[in-house]
Amino acid sequence: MAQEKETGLKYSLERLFLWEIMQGMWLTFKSMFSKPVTMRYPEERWIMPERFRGQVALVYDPQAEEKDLCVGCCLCIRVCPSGALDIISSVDPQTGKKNVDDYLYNMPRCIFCGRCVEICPVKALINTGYYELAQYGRRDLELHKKDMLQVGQKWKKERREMEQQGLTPQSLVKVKK
Amino acid sequence: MPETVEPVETLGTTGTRHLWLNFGPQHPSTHGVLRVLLQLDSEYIRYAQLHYGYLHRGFEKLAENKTYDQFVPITDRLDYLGPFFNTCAFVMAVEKLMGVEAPRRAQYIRVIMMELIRISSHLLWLGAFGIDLGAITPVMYCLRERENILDLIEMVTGARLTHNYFRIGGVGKDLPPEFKDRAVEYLEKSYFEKIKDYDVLLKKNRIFLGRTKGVGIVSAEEAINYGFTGPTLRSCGVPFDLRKNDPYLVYPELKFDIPTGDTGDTYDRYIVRLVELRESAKLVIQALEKLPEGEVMTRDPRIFQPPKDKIFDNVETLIHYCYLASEGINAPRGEVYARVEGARGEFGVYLFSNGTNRPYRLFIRVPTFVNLTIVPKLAQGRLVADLAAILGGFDMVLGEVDK
Repeated sequence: MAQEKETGLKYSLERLFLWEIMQGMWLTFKSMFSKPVTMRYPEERWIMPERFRGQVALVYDPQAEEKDLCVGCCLCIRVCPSGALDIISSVDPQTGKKNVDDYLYNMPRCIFCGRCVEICPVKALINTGYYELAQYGRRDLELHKKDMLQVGQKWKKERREMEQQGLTPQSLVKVKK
Repeated sequence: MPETVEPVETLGTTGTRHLWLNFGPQHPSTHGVLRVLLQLDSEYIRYAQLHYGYLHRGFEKLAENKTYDQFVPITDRLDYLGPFFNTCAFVMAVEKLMGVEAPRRAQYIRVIMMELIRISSHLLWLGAFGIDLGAITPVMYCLRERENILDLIEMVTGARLTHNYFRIGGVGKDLPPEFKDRAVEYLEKSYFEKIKDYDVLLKKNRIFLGRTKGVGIVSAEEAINYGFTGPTLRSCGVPFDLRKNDPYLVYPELKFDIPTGDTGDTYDRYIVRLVELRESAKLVIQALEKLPEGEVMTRDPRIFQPPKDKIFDNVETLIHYCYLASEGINAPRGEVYARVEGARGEFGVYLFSNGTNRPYRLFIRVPTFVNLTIVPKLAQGRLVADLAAILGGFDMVLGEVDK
């Protein structure tokens, strides 16, 4: 890197009139007239990108009413790096089929890596775009099968509405109160 | 070992007693939870000692209880400002162990993502470094620019911080179709202009020059002896960059320069990183132009999971799918070391496998932990305010230092 000359008239004048400070000030002055890049968060928010990995939810079977897709293969539990998922299952004595009695999702443990959704062979799990997950108590963050199905249904509905309005991901929307 | 002054309880030059001062762990100039114990003689540092470990989470031990696949998202939490480097090093180590290589398209995507995150990391450093030296303005602009980069990354990976995008044998998903145009448009139209503007804010500012020139000088020989890597080493005049000296992925096919400094002081570290900001952007544009078509995941059956649509066609595919998902990847016996040039220096992963699906031992070589070892020596005889400049110049991330 070439060293700049520290003598001469130009250098002296620049030193005298604080040239480099002026340049910086000019940059700051210019940006007073540019549009702000911040968003007014609680009133305005983003549509999350399609690949965003938010809260994990279960979905209903599109062909059958009130029936979820989970078959209880437990692969999601095997791949989860933090042990956030669990399944309580029983075997039907008459048919010998496996029943998923409850699906447990311990959200405080979840690191939102999306491995469970990736691995689920029957596509019963989805990543929703929900990211404001704070609750008053820890119990509220331990979701059961019923809650997860509700979340999934809500998300699917919202996504459909969004597509109908023609909103693209990574764009701003105003939140109505 | 360097000769350091031992802390002794004697009277200082002004006749007063030496003062013991804790610089950190909550001091904003330590960029996290680094604690520097100082013995002061009036305002000059007589003795400094670094205390690490306030953010220790035991990643190396954690890896022993996780399958290779499960550990991939965890690596994002090491150096949280440049997560792709960590993941890439780990993933490359496992690939080396198994003798597979990611497809060329995946390698290009990895290079693009890593260079984008290098830009984001350096921009954040530029802002934080300004704050360390009392310049509040740069951080506003730098964060604005970083936001654009993070938007691009979020589009591809779905997350802004913990991406979990690279996989063993490739990358998670292909690039979205609109990514290329958006990235090239942003980088070519506004990025270089903006970087020029930010350079104006600091480069010739006399306060900035006074605070950084001649502060924390490290000679080239000393830098090598201390095991420096990354921009910190290059600022001392050693043109060593793993992307050129030990090429990995597709770096040999791309053209870029390695900036070096002259004196090895904090000002040179600033100059080197500023040049790197431009070089990385050029690399991204080049790689996007050369991006080949094809697969993004290797077809090696030990790694490749059959697509979900095909697993119910025949039972062998289903068994293979479930076996891979529940057992994980079984790596052969052996020891490997893979390293990448991170934003802060050489990030290496040493992997010892005993033939199971978990690493027997994982050692993570982090750059800033090694680079920081010289700080007590540099701080000696300097003002306390200079310590903030020295620490800022090293661009440390405590998540990486403490592992």
